[in-house]
Amino acid sequence: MLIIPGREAHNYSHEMDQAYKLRHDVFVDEMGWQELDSDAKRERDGFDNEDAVHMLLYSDGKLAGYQRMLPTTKSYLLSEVYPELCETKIPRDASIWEWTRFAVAKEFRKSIRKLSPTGNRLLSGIVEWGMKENVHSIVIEMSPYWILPLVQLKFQIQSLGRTRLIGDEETIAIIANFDQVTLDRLREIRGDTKPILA
Amino acid sequence: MDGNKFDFLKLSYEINNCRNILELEKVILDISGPYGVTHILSGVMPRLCSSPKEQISGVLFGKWPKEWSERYFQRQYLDLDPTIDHVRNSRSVLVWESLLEKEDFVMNEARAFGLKAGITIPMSTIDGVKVGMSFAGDRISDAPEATILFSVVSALGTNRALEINRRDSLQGDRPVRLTPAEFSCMEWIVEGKTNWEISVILGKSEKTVEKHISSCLRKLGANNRPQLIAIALRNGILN
Repeated sequence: MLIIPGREAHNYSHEMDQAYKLRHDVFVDEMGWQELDSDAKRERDGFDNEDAVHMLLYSDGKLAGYQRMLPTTKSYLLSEVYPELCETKIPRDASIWEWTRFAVAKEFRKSIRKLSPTGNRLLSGIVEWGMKENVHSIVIEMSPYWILPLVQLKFQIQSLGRTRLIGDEETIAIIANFDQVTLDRLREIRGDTKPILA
Repeated sequence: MDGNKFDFLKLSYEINNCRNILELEKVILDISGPYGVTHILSGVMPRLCSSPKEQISGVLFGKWPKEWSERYFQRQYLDLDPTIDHVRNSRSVLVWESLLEKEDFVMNEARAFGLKAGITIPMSTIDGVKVGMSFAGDRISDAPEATILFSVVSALGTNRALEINRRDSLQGDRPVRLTPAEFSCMEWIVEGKTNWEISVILGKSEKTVEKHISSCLRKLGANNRPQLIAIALRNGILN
């Protein structure tokens, strides 16, 4: 997995271009988030700034998956775009990051519902990165439908507020804690104990 | 739920400490009781037109009116049940009240057995198996935190039931072990693939795939595919 801090993104213009293209393929073309559409067929927003951390997962030399982490100590989606999802204090802590733009390239997915090996490796990447960087929780805005898989993967879930409709999808903001148990579980399911981070 | 009404760490702790299905049912009823819940049911979705036996084998845990369950499975209500249809086709939470206008006869009959109001939560496991959990009673609270509680508790409870089943099957006299080839076939059966499709995907002959699947059926004591999926899930063979 390639981890690109936002402030170094200009040194990885080819990789970042591929990442923005994957985001466009998944979020605009497949999921129909038309407000993110652009003529260049690249999906980027104001949070692709210096503070973001981009995670690019390669498989056989191809970009298989992507996710973006945003520090909660700066502006992030929950605090700026979806504050209504949070009915407690907005999380602000160096140990808590927001997980956004999780995307697995179509050819690396078996089905929509099932956690693909690529999805597993992306999540394992967050946990490995977090344990190294002293991050132990992620904020997620998602459908309540995904709570069960997260619980099965040994993330500890707390909700931050009630479920609301965003577009036509029920959305809930949660904070998910993880630790070595989460990592062991992800590796057990993957059947592979090799670290994702080089 | 003292203090922060959205803090579910304590609930998670209580549910994960349940040692068996009976304890789990009691803890979940205790947690959801203050919101009007008197009955709960969690189960794997059987395929359409499955036999009552297959349908019952999909139940993971629950406290559901006995007379109603007997009537329901005997009369093959499952395929007519709008909550089942919802779990099969939607990701959103279903409040039974929204079905009232449709004068659905299954829901109407259920009312006579104490299932007057309810909420059904669709879920999917990491293996892509669809699971639904219903909370029901005379009157269910419509407080916003109740809906979230049901969403979180259904996930925690279903996960715990799967863990307990997995543990029990591993502690059994003869734990079931599938070969890697059998396991690959199982993964595609869950996806609804036919023997022929599986043979193409795995690059094996259809005959070989048939052999693996009948071996899975034998090892798990299943009569057909939906029952195979249900048993595999209950026994923790699928994660």
